[in-house]
Amino acid sequence: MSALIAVQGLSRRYVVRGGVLGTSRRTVTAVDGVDLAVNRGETVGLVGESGCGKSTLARCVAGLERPSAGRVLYDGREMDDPRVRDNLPRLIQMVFQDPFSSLNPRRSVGFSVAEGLWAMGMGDRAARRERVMELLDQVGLLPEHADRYPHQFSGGQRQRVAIARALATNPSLVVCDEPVSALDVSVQAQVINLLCDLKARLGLAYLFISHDLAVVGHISDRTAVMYLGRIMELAPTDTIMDNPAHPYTRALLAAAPIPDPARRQAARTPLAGDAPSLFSPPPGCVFHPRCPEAMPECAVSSPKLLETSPGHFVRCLKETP
Amino acid sequence: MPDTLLSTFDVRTAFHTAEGTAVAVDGVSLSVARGETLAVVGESGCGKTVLGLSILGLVQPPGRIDAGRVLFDGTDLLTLSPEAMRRVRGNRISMIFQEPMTSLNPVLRVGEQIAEAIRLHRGKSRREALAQAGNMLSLVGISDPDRRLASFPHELSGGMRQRVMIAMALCLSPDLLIADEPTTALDVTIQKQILALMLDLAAAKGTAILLITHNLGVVAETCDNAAIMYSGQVAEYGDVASLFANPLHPYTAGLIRSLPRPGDKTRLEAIPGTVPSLTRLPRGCRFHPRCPRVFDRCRTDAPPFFRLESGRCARCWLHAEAALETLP
Repeated sequence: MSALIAVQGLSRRYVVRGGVLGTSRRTVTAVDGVDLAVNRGETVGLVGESGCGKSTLARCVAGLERPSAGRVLYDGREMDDPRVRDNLPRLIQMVFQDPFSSLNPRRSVGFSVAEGLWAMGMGDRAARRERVMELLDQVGLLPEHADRYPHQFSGGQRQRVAIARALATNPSLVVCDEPVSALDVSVQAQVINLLCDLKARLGLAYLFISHDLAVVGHISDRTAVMYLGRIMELAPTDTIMDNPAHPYTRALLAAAPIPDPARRQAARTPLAGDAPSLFSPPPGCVFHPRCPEAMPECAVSSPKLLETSPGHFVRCLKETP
Repeated sequence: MPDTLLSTFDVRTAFHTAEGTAVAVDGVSLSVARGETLAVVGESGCGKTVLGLSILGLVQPPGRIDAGRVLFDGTDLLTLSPEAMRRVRGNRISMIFQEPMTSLNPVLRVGEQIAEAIRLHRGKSRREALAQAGNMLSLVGISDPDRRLASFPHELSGGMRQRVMIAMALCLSPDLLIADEPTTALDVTIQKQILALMLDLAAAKGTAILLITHNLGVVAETCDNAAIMYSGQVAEYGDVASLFANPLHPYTAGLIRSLPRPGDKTRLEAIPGTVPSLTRLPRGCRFHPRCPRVFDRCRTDAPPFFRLESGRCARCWLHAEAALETLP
C-alpha cells in the first residue's frame, strides 16, 4: 500500500526582488530536495528553528504552495490528478499557529466550522448544522458556542474551533503548523491531549510542525529535524530523543531547557553562532559553520540523507560510509 | 535579611477602563537579594509584566499604582519624582524586553544607543562612551565590535539585537536587571547562548536579576528562587529546587505536570478550564474553579499568603495549619 502522503525531491524557491529600483533578483531556496512520507494514522513531527523551511514544506503538502521541483503524491496519485485536485479538502486540512488570525472575526464559529462542508457541497443546511454540533462536541466545546464569535473565546478555545473546522470534511491528514505555540502551558496540554484523542478516535494522520522538541517528542511517531531547508535526520521519535545521530539534533536537544532543577547542567556549551542566511547557504554541509564536530571535508562535500539503520536517516559525513 | 536589594510591599496596580477596573497586580510582596536571580513566572495575563513595569515606574495610563511600596536599596521608588526615577532607571536598575526590535531605536546606530546611557548617567564624553560601548559589545560576544557600533538595528539578527540590549542594560553595572521574556522571541539554540551570556555577565558585575518568564524550563535551569503568579497574585514563592520537587500550590503542581517532556508519551495532565478574566474574578480563591484539590473554604474565602517554616510561601488553604504566619 502506498503512503498517504509521499513527498519526493521537493524544493521550493522564491525569487526576492531587492535593490533601490527593485531590479536585483535573488533566489532563496526555502525547501531543498525533501523526501518524506506520512502513512495512514501516523504522526510525523517536523522540528527546526525559524527559517528552516518547515512551514513552507507544510504548505506544499497541504497544496497551498506549488513546489518548484519534486512532487507530492496523495495515495500514490499526483496533485494534478482530478481525483486528488477536486477532493483535496477531503484529504488534507490544516491548523495554523495563531487562532486569533486564522478565524474570520465577522463570522460565527458555527459558520466557520461549516464553511468547508458548504464549499464541498456536503449535506444540506440541517445536516451541516448537525455536523457542526457533532464537531464542537468532539473538540470539547458546547452546542451554544456555534452562534458565538471568535472574540468571545479564549486562545485555547479558538484553537479547538480551528481543529473542529479542520475535521469537518473528514480529512485523512491534518497538517498542524505550530498549533500550540501561541498557547499558555496549561492550555497547551489540553490541546495536545485533544489532538492525541482525535487521532486515536478518528484514525487521523498528522504532519505536526513545531519548534518545540518536547511537544514534537510527545506527539509524534516519527520525527524529522530540518535545518536550512533540508532534513538532517529522520527516525522514530524515540530514536531521535534517545539516540540522536546528527550533531544538530544533539544541539537542539541540549539547548531545550529542562524543567527540572535537579538536572541542571551548568557546563552545557551552547551552539555558537546564528543560522546562516538562506540567501547564501554555506558550501558543503549547511550545518558545518556551527557544527561542534565539523571536519575539514564538511566544508567541501555536502552529505546525502542516508539510511544508517532501518528507518533511521542521517545527513552527516560522519555517518556516511 | 541584611542584603535585600529590592522589596515590594503589597503593590497594587490597576487599569481603570470603561469596562471596569482590572487589578493586574493585586498585593504583590516580593524581595530580591543582591546578586540573586528571582524568576517571576506565570501565564499570559497573570500580571508579571505589569509587576516589572510597576517597579520601574513605567506603568502608563489607564494603569495606575494604587497602593504599596517598592523599596530599592532603602528608597521607596514610588515616592520619587519622575526626574529622580530617571536617574535610577538605566543606571542602577536596567531592563531588557522581549522584542529587541521594538526596544531599539531603528534610526539610531547601535553604538550611539549604548553610549547614550553612559553619557547621561556617567557624564562621559561621546568618544569615551563609544569606546566603552565597543568594549561592552565584545563582552557580549559580538565579533568586530567597532564595525558593529556603526550598524543599525535592522542589520542585526534577532540574537545579535538581544546581545546589544544586554550590552546596553549591563554597561553601567546596575544593581538590578529586570528581564521580561528576554529569550521568548529567539530560537532555542540562540536562547541558550543569550541566557548563558546574561547570567555570566550579571554574575561578574554582581547584578541581581528579576527574570519574568512563562518558561518553566528556563526557570529550572537559571534561577535561585521563583514566584509563581496567578491572576495578579503570587500563588507560591520558594527556592527553585524545592518548588519543582515538591510544589505547594496546586497551580504550580499543575503547571509542572502539564509540560510535555521529550520521549515521554504518557497523557499530559492538563489544568482544566482557563485563566479567569481580571474583571470577573471568582469568589474565594482565584484558582478554585480549576483546582483538583478544592474544598468548601476555597469557594468562599480568599486565602492569605501563608509562610511555612522552610521559608517557602503559598496562597492556598491547604497550608493554613502548617503556616508560621500569614502575609497579606
